[in-house]
Amino acid sequence: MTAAISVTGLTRRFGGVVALDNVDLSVEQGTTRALIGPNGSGKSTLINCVSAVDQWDGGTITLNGEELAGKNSAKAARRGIARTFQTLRLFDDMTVLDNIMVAMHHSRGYGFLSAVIQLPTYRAAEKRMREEAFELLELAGVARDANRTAGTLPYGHRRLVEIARALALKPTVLLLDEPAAGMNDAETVQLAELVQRIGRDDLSILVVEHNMDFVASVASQVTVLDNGHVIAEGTPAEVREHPEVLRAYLGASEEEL
Amino acid sequence: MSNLTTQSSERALTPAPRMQPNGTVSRVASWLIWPALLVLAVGLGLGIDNNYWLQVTVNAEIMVIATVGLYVTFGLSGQVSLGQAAFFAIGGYSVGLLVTKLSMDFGLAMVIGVLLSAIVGLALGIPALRLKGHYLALATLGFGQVVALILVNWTWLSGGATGVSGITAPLFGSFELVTVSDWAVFIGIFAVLAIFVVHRVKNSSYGRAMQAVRDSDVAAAAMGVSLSAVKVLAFVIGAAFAGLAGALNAGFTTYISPGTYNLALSVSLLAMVVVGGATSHWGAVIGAVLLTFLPELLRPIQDYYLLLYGVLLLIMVAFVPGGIWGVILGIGRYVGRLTGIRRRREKTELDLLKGEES
Amino acid sequence: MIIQSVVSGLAVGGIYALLAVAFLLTYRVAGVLNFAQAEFVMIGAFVASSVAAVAGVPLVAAALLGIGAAAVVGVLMERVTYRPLRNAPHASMIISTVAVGIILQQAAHLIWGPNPRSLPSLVPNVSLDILGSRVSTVSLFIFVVSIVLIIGVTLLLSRTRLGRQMQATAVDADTAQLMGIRTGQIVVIAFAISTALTGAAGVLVAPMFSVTVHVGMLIALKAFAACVIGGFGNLPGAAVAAFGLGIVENLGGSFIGSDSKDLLAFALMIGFLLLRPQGIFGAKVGEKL
Repeated sequence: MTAAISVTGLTRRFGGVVALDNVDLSVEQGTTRALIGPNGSGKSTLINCVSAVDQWDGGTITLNGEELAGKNSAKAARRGIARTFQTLRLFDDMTVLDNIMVAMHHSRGYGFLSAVIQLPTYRAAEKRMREEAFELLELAGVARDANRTAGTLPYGHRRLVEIARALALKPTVLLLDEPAAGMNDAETVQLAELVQRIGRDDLSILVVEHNMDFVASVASQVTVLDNGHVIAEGTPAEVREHPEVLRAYLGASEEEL
Repeated sequence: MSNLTTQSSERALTPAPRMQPNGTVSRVASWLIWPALLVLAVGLGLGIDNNYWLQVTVNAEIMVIATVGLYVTFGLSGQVSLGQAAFFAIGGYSVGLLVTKLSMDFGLAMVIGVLLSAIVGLALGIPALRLKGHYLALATLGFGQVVALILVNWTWLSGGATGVSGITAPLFGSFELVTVSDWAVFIGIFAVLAIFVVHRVKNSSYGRAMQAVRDSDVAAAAMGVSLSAVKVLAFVIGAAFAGLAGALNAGFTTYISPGTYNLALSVSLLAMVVVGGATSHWGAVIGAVLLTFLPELLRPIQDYYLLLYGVLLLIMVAFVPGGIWGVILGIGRYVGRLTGIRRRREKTELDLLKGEES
Repeated sequence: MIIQSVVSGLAVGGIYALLAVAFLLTYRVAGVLNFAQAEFVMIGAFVASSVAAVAGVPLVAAALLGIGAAAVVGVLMERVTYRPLRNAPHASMIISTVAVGIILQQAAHLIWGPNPRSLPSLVPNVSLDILGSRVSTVSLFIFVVSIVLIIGVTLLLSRTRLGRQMQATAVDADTAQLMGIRTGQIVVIAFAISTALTGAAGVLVAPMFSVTVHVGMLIALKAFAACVIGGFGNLPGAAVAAFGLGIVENLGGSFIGSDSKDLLAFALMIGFLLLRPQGIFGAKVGEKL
């Protein structure tokens, strides 16, 4: 087994604040790892680094054996790193189907002139993209919304569309940033089923999530972050019993109360 | 209840034509639009007797070309350009100088003018598009001023404030456009072609990428879209179309001077897109036609025209953000909803009948 | 010769600086790029010249009325641009200020007609002999007044409670509101101060040019250029850049010819936008692609 995502010694500072301090993390190919931790523990920062949206100050990130350093997020995405956002970032004024097809832009297979003249290659490519996009929407269970404007969808549906859009990149690495945030119990179960369904041998998933039931149902391994440090690692059951984790979470929940 | 779910899943697989822009009905309709527009353009050119109104029509067609181009830059990809007049000038002066100084055919000079506009657009676009929102507006504003000042001051090149006159040349070989009517047909065809190209761009993957960059650049990049490539493409299309409009204008009026290419032209092009509706190229077309004819129609109150224009612009921006096209869509949707309700009611009645039968 | 050039450069630069500071004030506090600034120069100049033409009215009163008129119109402008559009896209706000500019220019055209007006200077125009160069008192006066006004605004922003509230609104309007600052009022005040400064610039330039509806056009564009060169985030920086621009233009004009001197400002502006968009004194604004 090789690691699809391999993060070693990752450090990220914002001014004087150390958001990530020497973090090690790896996701084996074809598996799902969850990343949990209290608010502000650095989870989103890590996702932003791995997707090359954010830069980092020290350490290395390797994806499928290739170093990520120096790439921007568009290049990383074209290499098969897909992500969703904690705060939804759909293209609100476009239809759901068009949202998905944006992720196929780099693999569209036709040039500008061909698009204007609408050569057969263009027509074939558009048909293929539309069909693939529709299949992804069906997989995510939101095919009914295909022709609606994305901004008008209910919240839970938008989350599912974002996952379908990420899958349209045909990724080898999928980063889900709190996909269940703001969802009710039924929607969370539906989401967990979706994440299980998209699991393939060549897709490795890193999911940031608070909901431990969700985590236990989708992830085989869990990494716990607190204040930018990894404080525990293991199966969901192991992590749940871990004294450091209990302390971090109890401390956090006391603060939150 | 089960009936309801099967019905809706069927609907998902074969979406209703009015919801699906690529459905058969709308595809046929959208194909009919182009021959219809061509017939309209040629018909206007041949049919309008009054030379004055024919000239206004040609002006509107020229504005349509520049405005649909700006729609790609501003409406589709969200970049504010206040320098379109400069590209207009590059197209116009290329034609003017090549025709009068090098005795070049108009057709060839026009091609060079458009290419030059595109190249200058590219040269300005690549560094300037790193700038966000208002910085780009300022960069294009400054660029427009530089070009305007060059036109006045570099007399050896541009003829200075007196401009270039006598821009008459055969189109190709011995074929020449002579009457206003000739020009109206010629430019009309270009206007339809310009709308057509923009329509195609919008519905292609390039158009989707541009809209994505406009809606959320972070997400677009995370989906593998190269922001710089998409923005530069959109900017260059706007520049090239403005160049084409300027080139055609120079040929039509046979005379160009720096006064034409000022900030007011850039602003009115942007105003055409906004008033017409920045969400669609059809909005841009409507805006261009309307704001070209409006001053002519308001000629009796000429002194107040620009005042009225300013007030209209202010009201449209503040209270009708979707522009005229948005209003038309709203009315269409309202009518559609009314007929949709009627259809559903018919269906329920039908169901009731069936129920009675069984 | 050089000294004479520098002093008239400082005078022109002072005008640019007033407009640059005014422009950045509404930009920083309200996020509005005011493309109608030229028209506020015009309002100041027109109102002052009309009032001064009435027999018996002292020049100072005419000047103050010109400035006041600009401020009143500025407050009205806030109502039709910022308030309805504060959550709208950037382009909408830009176009709305352009629309206001068109309206003001046309209204002025209807009120004052096409014939240019003139306004005497507040100080008598005599040439002083400084180090062997002849320096005009009008230029010196413009320079001094603009410096005093700019320092006044800077002090207002840094030393007073109102100024701190403005700064807080500029940094984060939502948080400022949570802290109990009436951001709506602050924005209105920012508009009033900004347009009053612009009107003052109009009163100052009126004796140098004839007063037409286009009097402010080029000046305002040059002030935009100065903002870009100095840096958008930084009021004093933009003012310094504006003075610098005035001097460079005047010195450059005597070398490359006065026809090309207008090009200089915009070429510099584009150069800065492309190579150092944050300006001389600003923090980084570039976007990672």
